[in-house]
This record gives sequence, structure tokens and C-alpha cells, in this order.
Amino acid sequence: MSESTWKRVLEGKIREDWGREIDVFETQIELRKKSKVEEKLFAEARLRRGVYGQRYDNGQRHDGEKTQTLTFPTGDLTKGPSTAWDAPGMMRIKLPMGRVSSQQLEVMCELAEEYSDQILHVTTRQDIQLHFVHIEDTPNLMRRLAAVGITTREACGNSVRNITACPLVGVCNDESFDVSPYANAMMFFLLGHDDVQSFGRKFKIAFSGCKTNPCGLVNFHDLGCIAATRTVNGEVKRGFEVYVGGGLGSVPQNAQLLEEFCPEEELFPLTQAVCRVFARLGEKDNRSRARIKFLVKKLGIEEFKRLTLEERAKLRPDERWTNFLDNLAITEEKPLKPPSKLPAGPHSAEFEAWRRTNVQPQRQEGYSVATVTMPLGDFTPDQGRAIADIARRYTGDSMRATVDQNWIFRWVSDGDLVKLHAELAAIGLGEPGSDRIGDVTSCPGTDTCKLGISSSRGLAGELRKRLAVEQPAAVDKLHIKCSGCFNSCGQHHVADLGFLGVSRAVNNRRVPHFQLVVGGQLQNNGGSYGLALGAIPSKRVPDAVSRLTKAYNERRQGEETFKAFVERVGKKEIKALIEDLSHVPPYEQDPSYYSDWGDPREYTIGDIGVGECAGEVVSFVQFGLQKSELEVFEAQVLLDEGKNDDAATRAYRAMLEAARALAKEKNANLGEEPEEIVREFKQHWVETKLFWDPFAGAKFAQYLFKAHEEAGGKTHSKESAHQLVEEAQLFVDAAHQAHTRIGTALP
Amino acid sequence: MIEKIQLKLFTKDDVPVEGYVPVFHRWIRERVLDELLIDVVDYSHVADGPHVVLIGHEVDYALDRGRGKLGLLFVHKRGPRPERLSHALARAVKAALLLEAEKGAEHPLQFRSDALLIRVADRLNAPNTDATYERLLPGLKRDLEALFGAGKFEIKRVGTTREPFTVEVKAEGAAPLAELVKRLSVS
Ligand code: SF4
Repeated sequence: MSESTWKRVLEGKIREDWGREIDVFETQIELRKKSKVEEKLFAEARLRRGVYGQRYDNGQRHDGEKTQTLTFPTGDLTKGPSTAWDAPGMMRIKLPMGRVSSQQLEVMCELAEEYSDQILHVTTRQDIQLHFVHIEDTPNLMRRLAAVGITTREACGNSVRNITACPLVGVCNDESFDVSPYANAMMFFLLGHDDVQSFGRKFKIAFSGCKTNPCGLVNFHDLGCIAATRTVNGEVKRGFEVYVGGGLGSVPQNAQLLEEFCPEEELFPLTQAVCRVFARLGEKDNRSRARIKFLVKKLGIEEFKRLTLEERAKLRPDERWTNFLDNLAITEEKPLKPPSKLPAGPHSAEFEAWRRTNVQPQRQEGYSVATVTMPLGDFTPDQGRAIADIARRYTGDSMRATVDQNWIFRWVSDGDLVKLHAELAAIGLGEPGSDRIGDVTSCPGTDTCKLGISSSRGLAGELRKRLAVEQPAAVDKLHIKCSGCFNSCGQHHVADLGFLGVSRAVNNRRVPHFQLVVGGQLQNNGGSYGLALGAIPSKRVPDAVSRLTKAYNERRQGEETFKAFVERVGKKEIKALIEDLSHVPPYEQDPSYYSDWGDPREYTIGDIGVGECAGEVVSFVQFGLQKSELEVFEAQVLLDEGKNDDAATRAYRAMLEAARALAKEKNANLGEEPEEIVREFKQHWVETKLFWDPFAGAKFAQYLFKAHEEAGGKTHSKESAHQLVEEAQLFVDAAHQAHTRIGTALP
Repeated sequence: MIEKIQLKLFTKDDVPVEGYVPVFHRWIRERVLDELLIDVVDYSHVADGPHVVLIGHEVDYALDRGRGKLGLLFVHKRGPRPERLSHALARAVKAALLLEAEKGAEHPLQFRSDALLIRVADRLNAPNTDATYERLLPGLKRDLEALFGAGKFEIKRVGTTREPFTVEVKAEGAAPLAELVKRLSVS
């Protein structure tokens, strides 16, 4: 009996192209283990499959006294520069718009149990992350996700990341229209698209149903789309206000208006054109200036727009730009239960407290959105399965992960709210306080992130505990967000009180600190960023929060927001309120300052590694050539298995891949039709003698032409298939040489 | 051979476990266990889950409050598979006894020897079905008999097919862990 594998068990349940991609990734893993794939190339390939590094994966960890070497069994083998093969890593699961079905959630719970540390984590971009995952477990993990319609492709790396959207789209009172089908179609349109493969850095897209509310956070995205309508000749036309070049990080930038009204049918070509401009002109060498915000700033929005429209005019028409418009109902959710009214009370105090903060009425009468407050975005597989059951009983598949690391059920019939809350409470998730001061958001920080400087999760956990007591109403409405470093994944710039991890040297020792940023604005899609007020030792941050919130509560005027309060009172006076907290006593007097929240080790910055957020710059050609090599490898395997025709097909495909990778350099619009690839390759590379061997001339090119002529119409013997595989190998080698010769290869 | 085995030894009392974060950090520093330990994670904010986890390369050790019951969860992830339940149990008990010996802890831990949870987190090779139960039962029985004595324990399959294969073992009147560990052959 043949051994049972996930690949076999899930055969027929996975989209063919997704299944193939995972097989290719598995082959890449095998080749890397034999050192047959270059380290950087493998790192970027892995990142583009959502497989990320984690703290200490360079094999070094400070134990509080000294740095110890983590001696992993595979020794020197790496999965990227300074990244030990065996070191646990993070798996990012991309959930477009945070949408999850019960079945998908159950599978993610299984994966957390079998491959991770029994915890699922909701990120600030509506993904789920699993930590402490071994690289060799990832292909099966991906297969199990793919079987329920989830791909991790391009969840990390220099690619288009998860596309986010307000979790209330479709049920919100304030939206222009439901952006779900647009965001959903865009995710599939851009996934693996040729024009998004050569970025110098990541690219984040967000959709919002309206301009004023905070949920979409378009203002700090690389590309942001806000739903808008226009009446033309009495007909209401849908479109988007399109923004570009927003971003947080150490140089936060507000997004700039690219198109005031981009009609719905123009949204995808415009986006594609933006991607091309970014891929062509964006910085590649200096990683800290490679996001699109720097390009937009450098060129100016007018010039950026001109280049985008110029690029738009050159695009080859693509039916996917508009096909999806015929089926906008694809993302529509049908309520499981009829609308109803909440039974007259009295209800328990717990329920009322939860209802006040965690329930919002939908646009559709008789229904509400119920938020599950996930502490620090974490939940267990048991809780996940119970959530899946609750959805099946009350709402159907209409759950979403939110950017504030919570979870929502949409379409809860109001009459079910009491029961739903009781069921959540039974699994420890019935706490109130969503979207309130105690619902602190945090990036992973020093817990697992290689770049973390201070423990953002430790701080967030401590603040959660301290803020759990009842707060004055005005204070309760504030938001706190924490980031472990300047990369700002915790989105602290847009919080009322934001914290970003920094370190300071005091008396020859390192002390964890947080830079305080006050008065950011979540409203208007994360409309403005706060002011930095200086660094406070980590251990004094809770005191700073309590002083600032007390001052706000006592001194605010009327309905003044925290941002307005900060602006009125002034930075100087606000800073004076907490000035004394920046003092750090000598170690001998109080060593507690010298360790971070939730981590008793003496603090050090020695564990900071090289981040993988920036990925590795790998060009489209390099990826294409690598893909062609994998095809040759697969062809050889098939040949060994006696599958001659399959081996020959693979060998032909390998040559086509390599030819396409080269030809695409000369024609950005090149499609995927073999005829077109061969024609363009011949024109741009063979007739120009760029693909030309000094001794053999066009001999290697002829291998492709011959294989192309014979494709599909020939039955192969072992010998003829063997010859074709050999020729494919020579062709791919020649493609590498040609690429290097013309000097387009990246160092 | 048992794949991806997890064992849970329950504590006698439910106590706060956050204080064991520094203990686990010290275990890493002093290489207390003869295996590669990597990091400590504090999930005590999560209800009924792994609260403090000592992450290792082959094995994770979690002070776990899953299903509301505190215990030490031994999670075998990779490396040589424990050939028998007793091999995994010996490692789990060793860690439990070390935790009991942490005298400086604000909330000392004491483990029960009369109850045990055995889980196999491998739905491919060991789904939570009758067939898996029948396949694994002889091996489990053999090792549990060596531990508790024939007829001195009860074994019950629990959970649904959505959950990992899980059995609960009850052995009333079992000897203390320190005694039991001597019976576990680890050769
Ligand atoms: S903000 Fe910094 S510490 Fe936090 S996840 Fe991003 S890179 Fe890591």
C-alpha cells in the first residue's frame, strides 16, 4: 500500500494551478536542501509563499546573560541569508478582506494544532499568522489551506500583500456601495500577475466603503480605493477615489489623490499601470526608500499620474479588468436567520456591557454585527472551532478578521444576540470593550519579530490588564496601538496614544523604551498622524497613559477629541505632564527598568536580526529562469518514472518559461500563449543575436523552436524524451548566460 | 510508533502560571533539559489555552489550561519519533518533576499521577476515529500496564473527528509521579 500523503488525500480538491505552485515550492525546498537553489532566491521564493523568518532564526539568542548559539540539527543549511533551516518561522495566511468561512477556520485550527504552537493570531492587516512553524511542514500546510480555497501566495515578500477592506462593507450605513466584489476580484487579478513580480518592496492595497470612517485605513496604504458614485445622465455610476503613496514606518506619508473618480471598469487597468510604474522606477538598492511612497514623493503626484496614464495607454486589454462586473453578487452574504428584535430585557449586566461596546446595528434592519474581542489577536484552536460552530448556528459564513485584531460575526439576527453572547462567554470570548481604550492593538514585536526593539505585545498585555477597570466615558473611547519598532506594523501613528519601540543606553546598559506618539487620527481612513513626544522607559508607559488620559478627562472642552485636546494644549505642556517619567534609575537601584514587559531577561538589542519585510530583490527574469529550472528538474523526475510524454511536455514548458522570462524584458505586455512567446523571443533575442552562443550560434534556440513545432503532436519514446530534457537543460543554461551577458542580471 | 504525540499531565491545583515565564527562561539559559530549547511565549491572556510555552526544536512544553484544566502539555513535533508511549511519557514526567522542584516559585506546581491525556496531532495518519483507536490501543495498553499495572486504569477515546485523536486515561490509586517514572523504560 502506498504511503498516505496530504498531496494524495487532497487530490482533486485543490485548484490545479495552486496545487502545481505548491509542488514547485516543495521541489524548491528539496533543491535548497541539496544547495541547488541559491540562498537569496530561495528566501524570496519562500517569502512569496508566506513563509517568513522569526526572531533567533540566525541561530543566536541572548539568554539574559550572554548570547547562546542554538545548535540546530541541520547545521549550516540555510533558508535565506543568516537564516537557519531548522529555525522556527512564521506562516502568514492571507485572508482577502479578512473573510473566513467556518470550514476555513476549522482547517486553520487544525494547522495551528499540528504545525504551530496551538495559537492562531489575527494581524493588523486581516491575516492569520501561525508561529514556530518548520519550513518542511509548509507545503502540506499550504495544501490543506488550498483545499479550502486559501492561498498563502504573496502573503510576504516584495509583492502585493493581503488586500484589506472595512469589515463592515455591505452592512454599513455609511458606505457608498459594497466594495467586497472589487477587492476580491482585484486580489485574484493581481495574484501572481507578471506586473507585480519585480517590486523593490511590498505593496499594500486597502478598500473602503466611505471616506469618513476609520475602518478602511486607506490613507496609509500604497494604493487605496474609496467607493464613490457619480450621476451621469441620470444614471448612478460606480467608481473609486484612488489614492497612492501612503505609508507608515519611520517616514509616515499621507496617501495622495491619484484619481478623483476612477470608473469601476478602469480600476484594474489603473492599478496595473501603477504597479508597472512602481516596478520600473521604484528604488531597488536602498531598501529603506523602496516603498512607493518615496517614488511618489520624488516624482511628485502630477508626474506620477502622468507616467501612470502613459503606462495605462500601453496596456494590453485584459478581459479580467471587467469580467467580474457581471457577477458582483459573488461576495454577497445571505443571512442564515430572518431579521428579529432583541427580546425585551432585563438582560444580564455582562450582556448589556458587551452589547454597548461590541454590537453595532447593520444597515439591514433586524441584524447586527457582533465583535469578538480577541486579546492581542490570539485565540486557540478550541475557541476557533467553537467560533466556526457559532457561525454555522447563527450567521452562516460571514465572519471577518479585523484590522484591530478582533473577529466579527455579521448578519446576527438581533433576537439571537443574547444566546450568541452566552456562547462566546462560555469559551472565554465574551468580554466587552471592543474598539475601546483597553482593546490595545499590537504588532508581534520582540516576541517573534526579527526587527523588534521593544516588547509591544508585552506592553499591550500590561495596558490591557490595567485598563480593564472602568474608565471615564471620554477616555474609554480612545485607542492605543503599539509597534515594536519604527516599521509601525502596529499602526501606532493613527492612534490617540501610539507607542513605538526604541532602546536607550543608560549607564552602559540598554533600557527598553517606547516613543510616545499622541493625537493620531483613525477617522477619515486613518486621516492624520500623531506627534512624537519623546521616549519613555517601557516600565513607565502605563503611568504615562494614566496621566495623559486623566489630564484629557479633566481638561477637555466639550466634546473635544484627544487629537484636538493635544493640539490646543500644545506639545510642550503635554510633554511636561510626563517629563519625569523618562528618568531611569541606576540598575543597582531598580533593575526592573532593564528588562521588558513579559520578558524577565535583562534587555538587549543583540537579538535584533535582519528583517525579511524587505524581502530580497529578485527580478521577474530571475524568477522565470528559476521556474524553468524547476520544470527541467520535474521533467527529469518524470523521465525516471517512465512517464515519457509528461517528461517531454515539462521539458518543452521549461524552455517556454525561460524564453518568456527573457522576452518579457523586452515586451512588458507579453502574454502566455506559446505562439506569442516563441515569436517574441525569436524577434527580440535570436534575431538580435542576444541569445547566441559564440560557438554554437542559434543552436540552443533551435531546441525551443523544434519542440514548439512538435508540441502535443508526438508520442515520445524514452530516448526522444530524454533528448528533449537534455535540450531543455541546455536551453535554460543558455538563457542564463544570455541574461548575464547583457548585464541585466542583478548582483 | 506514535506520530506527533502530545501528553498532558494535570496539576493537583489550579494556580496562576505567569511566574513560570522566568523559570522557563532559566531552563533555556542553564540547559536544564537535554534538548534544544529556543524561546518562551506567554499566552496567559488567552482563556483556556497554552498559557506559558517553552518552545523547543523537537518538543514544546506548555503550562496549558486547555478545557479549563491546568497541566503540563508535552508536544512532540519532530526529530526521532518516540518509539513507544513510555518514551514520551518519561520525558514529560521528567519536565513535570523539574517543575515541582521549582521551590522558589510563588505558586508551586504539583502534578497528579492518576489522570493523563494522550493526543496525536496528526490527522493524516491518526484521525480521531474508531479505526485509529483500534490501531493504537494495543501499544497504549501495553505501556500503560507497565506503568500502572494491568487492570488498574481506564482508557477512553474523547472528542469528535474534528479534533486530534485524544484519549483520557484514569488510574485511581496510582503511585506518585516520582515512583511511576522509575517504571518507565527509556532504554
Ligand atoms: S513594527 Fe517592527 S517589531 Fe513590529 S512587526 Fe513590524 S517590523 Fe516587527
